[in-house]
Amino acid sequence: MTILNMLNFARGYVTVKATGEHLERFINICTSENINIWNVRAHGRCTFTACVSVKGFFRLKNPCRKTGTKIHILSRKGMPFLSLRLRRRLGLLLGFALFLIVSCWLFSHIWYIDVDSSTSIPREELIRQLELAGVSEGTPIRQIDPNKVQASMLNLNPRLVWAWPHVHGNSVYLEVREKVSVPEILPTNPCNIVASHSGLITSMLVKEGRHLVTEDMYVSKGQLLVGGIMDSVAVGVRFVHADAEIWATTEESVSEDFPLSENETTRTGNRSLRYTLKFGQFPVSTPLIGKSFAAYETEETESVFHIGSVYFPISLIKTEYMETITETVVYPQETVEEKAQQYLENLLQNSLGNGIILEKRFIAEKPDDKTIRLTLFATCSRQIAVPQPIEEEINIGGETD
Amino acid sequence: MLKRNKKQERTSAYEKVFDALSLPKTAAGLTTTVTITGTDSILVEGYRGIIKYSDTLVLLNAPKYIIRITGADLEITEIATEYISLRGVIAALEYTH
Repeated sequence: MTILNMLNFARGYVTVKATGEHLERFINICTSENINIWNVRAHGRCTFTACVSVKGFFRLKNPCRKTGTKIHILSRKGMPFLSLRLRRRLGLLLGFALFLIVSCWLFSHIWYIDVDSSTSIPREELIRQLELAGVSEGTPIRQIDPNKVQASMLNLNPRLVWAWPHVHGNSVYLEVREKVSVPEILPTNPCNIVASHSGLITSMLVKEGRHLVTEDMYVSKGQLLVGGIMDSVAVGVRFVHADAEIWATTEESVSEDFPLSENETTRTGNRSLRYTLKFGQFPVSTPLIGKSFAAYETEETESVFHIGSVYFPISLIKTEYMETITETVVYPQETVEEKAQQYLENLLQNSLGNGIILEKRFIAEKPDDKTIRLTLFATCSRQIAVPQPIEEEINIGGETD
Repeated sequence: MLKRNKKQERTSAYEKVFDALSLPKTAAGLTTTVTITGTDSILVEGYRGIIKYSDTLVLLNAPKYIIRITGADLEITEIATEYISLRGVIAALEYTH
């Protein structure tokens, strides 16, 4: 149905049968008097059928009189006639009116919120802040002032430099831009570099300060490696912020106790279901389908009803209850050791930063029947340079291990 | 007869002015535009009225000539003072002076 046909239907029209000797003259008069007629079809020499608008039909009297044409109505179509027919069916009219009201209400509210996912800020955090800024599911569209939302978002989240809510139909898309952090300003306070661990120095890169040790030297924990006090004949004594990268081979050890038994929760495979139909904020739940369990885990899936990008405040939530049992499981010592070795290695690696483990060996002990104590001894290559403010007392000799 | 000659003279004077200024004659209603789409639709702009209408023949009055459209199942889909739109199987279009 074209737009013109829809308009004609909305305004109403009648299909008429015209009979007369001067049909051409009749059409010409209708045209000159701006009577809207269309779909004129000739049936023989003296008859034709045509569609005439309701307004035009009442003005056909003059052309008919001038040309001696007789008009018969064949059918009446369009909204005015349809509404007359449906006037007595009050329920239908009420339903239609209710449909219009509900549709208008639904189309004037926000039912779906999406946020810019290209930032490092979590999506949930942005949605929560957007809610605090006054935009949430169910907010009337006319209440959303993008400038106010932007101001609130910038106040709520100091990491944002720009935020803008784009309203598309019933959905809002929040576009944000994060602040670009300024580069860290290098400290200028006078300091020395000391050893964080005892070890054999393998490489040195001194960016600022005076060398006090060299490669292939063994240093103790706390020993002064690079001095922050510079002395020269030309400048005299001056204090600098010593900076260096010093790598050394160190000996490390980590030890921890691991239980041989653990309480483990497993799913039995028995499941129960519950469906919840949510209208806006009002949930309507079905009774539990299946047995109720003493101990269980739940999984929830929510499907929001939508047509294309138009989201409605109606959603179906499927909640699955899975029965669980808790048992004490005793593991074989080999299994515990294997897991413990991996755990200790990760623990040591995390403490090394960008250092590496060169050699490693594990020693297992059994202090009692329920526990195993594992110790990791490792030779590592790591950065040992740490700054020490110059005011502090300097331990030139270092500690002895 | 004298009246018609005067009218013709006036029309030709208009035409001369439009020709001299290179203006489109359709703007002044001096000529007719006929648009045929495929073989089943025809639109005539700038006509003066219907002389004869049946499902096989349509005669339209134009400023300088008569437009004769022949075919089958000819139907007037839209009609107004400025244009007429026809639909059906169009066999021929002729201009008669």
